[in-house]
Amino acid sequence: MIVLSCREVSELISEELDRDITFRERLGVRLHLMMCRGCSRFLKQIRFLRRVARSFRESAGDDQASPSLSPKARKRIQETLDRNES
Amino acid sequence: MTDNRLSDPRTWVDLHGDFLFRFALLRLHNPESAEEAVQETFLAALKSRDRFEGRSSERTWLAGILKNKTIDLIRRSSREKSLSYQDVDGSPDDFFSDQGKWKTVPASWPESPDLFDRTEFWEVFRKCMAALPRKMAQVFSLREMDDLPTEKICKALDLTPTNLWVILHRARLRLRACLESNWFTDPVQKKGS
Repeated sequence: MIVLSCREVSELISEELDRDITFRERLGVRLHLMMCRGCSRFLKQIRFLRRVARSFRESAGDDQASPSLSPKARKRIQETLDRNES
Repeated sequence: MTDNRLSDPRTWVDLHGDFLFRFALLRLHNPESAEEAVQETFLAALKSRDRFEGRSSERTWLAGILKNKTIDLIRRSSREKSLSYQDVDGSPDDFFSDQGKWKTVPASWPESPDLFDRTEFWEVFRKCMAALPRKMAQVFSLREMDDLPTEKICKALDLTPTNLWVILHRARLRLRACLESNWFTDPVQKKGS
C-alpha cells in the first residue's frame, strides 16, 4: 500500500503540472484523493490557478489600471533612443 | 502595421513603452528591473532592426525581444545577489503539520462565471503575486504565465528540476491560500458577485 500524507500529495499534484509522474505516484495520489476533500480541492484549485495566470497575461498588458512607465524612466529611455538613433 | 517597416524608433517609447513595461513587470516583479528591460529591449531592437521581416507586428516583435531580456535579467540578478533559490525553500512550513496534514484545509471555492471580467479580482491576484518572494514570483510567471517548458527554465536560471518543483509547489500553495482568504472566502467580495 502506498500511503501518502497531504503534504506529499500536494507536492505530487503540483509536480504533475510540470513533469510526468510515475504510475506508482499516480496511484498513491488517487487513493489519497478518494478520502481527502482538502487535497481534492487543492488539485482543482491549482489547475484553475494556471488558467488564472494565463488569463492575467492576456489582460494585463492593456490594463490601464496597471502601472506604467514612470516619467523619469520614460525620459531616460527616450533620450537613450534619440542618442542611438541620431 | 501591415507593411514590413518599423516606425521611427524615436516614437517607440510613446507607442510601446507602457505596454512593454507592464509586460516586463509581470515577469520581473520589480519596477527598476522592468525599466531596465524596456531600455535594453529598445537598444537590442535598434541593432537588429534590419532583421525585422514584418511577419509579426512591431509590438509582437519587441515583446519577443523583451521576453529573452527578462530571462537574462532574472539570471543576472540571481547571480549578483547572494540570495539563492534555496532560500525560497528554507522558509518555515506554514501549510502542513509535522504529520503532513493541512493546517488549514482548502475551502470550497464558489463558481463565478464572470470572474475574469472583474477588475477587483485581478487586483487581488496582483496583490497575491506581489506578496510572494520575488524569485518565487519570477519562476511562477515563467512557468504559469508564459508556459515555458521546465527544462528551459532550469537551464536559463541554473536550477535543478527538484529545485524548480519545490519553488513552484510553494508558489502555488501561497497563491492559492492568498486568493482563498482575500477573495473566495472573503464575505465582502462574494457579496459583489
